[in-house]
Amino acid sequence: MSITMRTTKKHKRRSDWLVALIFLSPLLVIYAVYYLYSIVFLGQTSVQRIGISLLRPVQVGFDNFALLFTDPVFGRAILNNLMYAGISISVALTVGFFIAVTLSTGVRARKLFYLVFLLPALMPLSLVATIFGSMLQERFGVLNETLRAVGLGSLAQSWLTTPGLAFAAVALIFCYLIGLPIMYYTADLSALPTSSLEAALLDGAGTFRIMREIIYPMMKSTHITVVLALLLGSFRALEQVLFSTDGGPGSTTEIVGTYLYSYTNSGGKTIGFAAAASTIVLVIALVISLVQLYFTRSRKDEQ
Amino acid sequence: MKFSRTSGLMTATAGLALVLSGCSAGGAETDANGVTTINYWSWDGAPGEAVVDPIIEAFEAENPDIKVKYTEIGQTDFKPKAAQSLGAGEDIDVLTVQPGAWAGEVQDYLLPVADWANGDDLRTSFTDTSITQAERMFADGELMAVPVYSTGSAVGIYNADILGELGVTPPRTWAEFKTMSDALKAQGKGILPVTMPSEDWFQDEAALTSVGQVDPDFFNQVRYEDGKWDTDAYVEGLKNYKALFDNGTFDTATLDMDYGTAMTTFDEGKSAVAFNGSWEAGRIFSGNYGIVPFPAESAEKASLRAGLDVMLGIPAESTKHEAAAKFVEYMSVGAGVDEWASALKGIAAKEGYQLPEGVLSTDLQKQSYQTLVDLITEPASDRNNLGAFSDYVGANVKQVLLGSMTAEDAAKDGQAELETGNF
Repeated sequence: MSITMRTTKKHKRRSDWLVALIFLSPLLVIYAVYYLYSIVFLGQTSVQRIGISLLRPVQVGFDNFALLFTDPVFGRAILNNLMYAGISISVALTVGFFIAVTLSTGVRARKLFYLVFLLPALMPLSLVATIFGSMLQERFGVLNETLRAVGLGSLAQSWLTTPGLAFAAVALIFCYLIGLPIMYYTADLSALPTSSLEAALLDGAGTFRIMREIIYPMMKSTHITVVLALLLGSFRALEQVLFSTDGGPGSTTEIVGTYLYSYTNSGGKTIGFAAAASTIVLVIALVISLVQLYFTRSRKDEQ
Repeated sequence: MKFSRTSGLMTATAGLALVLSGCSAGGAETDANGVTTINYWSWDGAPGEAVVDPIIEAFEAENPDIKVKYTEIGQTDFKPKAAQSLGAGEDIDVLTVQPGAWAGEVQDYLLPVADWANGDDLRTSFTDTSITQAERMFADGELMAVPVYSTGSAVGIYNADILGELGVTPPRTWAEFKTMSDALKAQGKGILPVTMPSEDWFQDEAALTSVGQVDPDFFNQVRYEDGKWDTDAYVEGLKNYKALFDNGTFDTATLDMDYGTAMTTFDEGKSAVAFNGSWEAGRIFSGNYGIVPFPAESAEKASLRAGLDVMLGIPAESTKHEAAAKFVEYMSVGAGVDEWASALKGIAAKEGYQLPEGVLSTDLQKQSYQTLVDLITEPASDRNNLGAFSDYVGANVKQVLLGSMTAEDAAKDGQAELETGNF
């Protein structure tokens, strides 16, 4: 290769970089302003004792983190997030998958069913949670009123103030929002190669066997997307709990979102503490994202 | 799509004109007609749009050179939104300052009352107690906002028709409340004896009202003197409160009702008494309702915590101090007082204030108002809450009421939380 050709290639590479940089620069600026600045601000605030006005900060080192690690409510909130994520993932990978496959087979009133399952995910979460909360009220809630009306009054419960029942009620709200996983599955089902399915049919495999042993394994990448979307989504959740149980009774249904909200909305010097909690949550989300990267990479290697 | 040089120039000129006109509208003190527009920010209950609008109308009629633009924010969002807006240089000229920890939080943004054009005169127009309470809100004791009115919590609003049907007198003691609850059960109409907000902050209010009957000085000791939270008085007061649920005087069904549901249930005649803050006292005009204190062992022990609920301040960054000070004066000691005082939003901080004749038209209303004034002017302690701490200990109170925590553990846990220094 001649020196002239090498120089030309070098120039081309440099101009490619320049073009890429020009196209990426608006995004990079937005990233720098909204992400990097926020992260730096979060880190800085997390070592301060400071209120919502962000005035008169007092440097407290890692005191906020030390407090967090000894706060059982924070630990409980993270655990609850993981548990709610686990429950909604289980439901998405089973019920959600089943619904998506069933609807993709061309059942009657398919569009209506899609609407029924997708609507909760498209509605404002605050509305969904408020309605759930109101339905489950002990005295005048629709559920207990109905039970009493049909002679099953003995089954009426204090759904929102009994710890186990309140936890289950919130889990139900998380599962009720199953529409997005169904959408992921539906989108990927249309791209599935039909040859394997035809071969299975010719071999005499039944519907459930095809579903379980052919389609389910073929949708591995969608499963990973669903798992990670729900897991990361659970750490952004707020309304599901805030408008139904508000984290109670006690801290039974507390999640990271409601925990942070209570401290950011306070009039006191609690913003540094909330920033420290956010930093920890950010690290957890980062670890989950790294796991996602790892799984995505290994899948590409296999290909 | 192609743009000609002319159309490009026109667009740029129009954009520039818009930007400049936007800037000038925000910063100008007066418009071409000599009218100064001031921005007044408050939260929805202080005293609320329905009360504020007629006040603004009357003020503008009296001061044609001033226009007031009112912005109302939901109570739960007011603290973060207003504090951040002040920090971002939002054009606010009159700000409702929420007493408690938040007042100290935003004090650096406020202009000292002494620097207002009418500051010195205004200061002498309020009761000494309210001025002292207002000064206590700020770190160095300097008056940064004027007191407007005080409220107390918790008090009960009772439905006189329901009580009349039962043949019981308005209950003030534990025994009288129990009699009323038993009568309601015997009646079998499914009417609850009591509803109240189940929100953590209100459960803290209710528990502290009960604690105040045991040790009136408990809260002030904690708030101002580094007193302990886990005292015997706190435990006893909390146990007394729990006993009301345990012996059937109160129904636990109220413990999953949010603020709105609890009050709607009362309005619909499905509960005999609604406990809340005195800011809900205006309800006595909407039915045959009266006011009773939170139940105590004996009527003499009945009390509540009270304090300033609303103060008005002027941000130091405002460029319309004079107009803003005029409006604050109108709201806090001027003709505006009658409007919110007549709606029973609070007890005026204005020295020697009396409700206008005819506001209270029935004996029950007169009696109820007197009960309210007696309770608020002689409170057990200040209602100078500690934001998120109130939510934290309120959640524990509910656990105690539901039997999943002991009063002793709740007291210890509250003390540990207090010692974190976050509040």
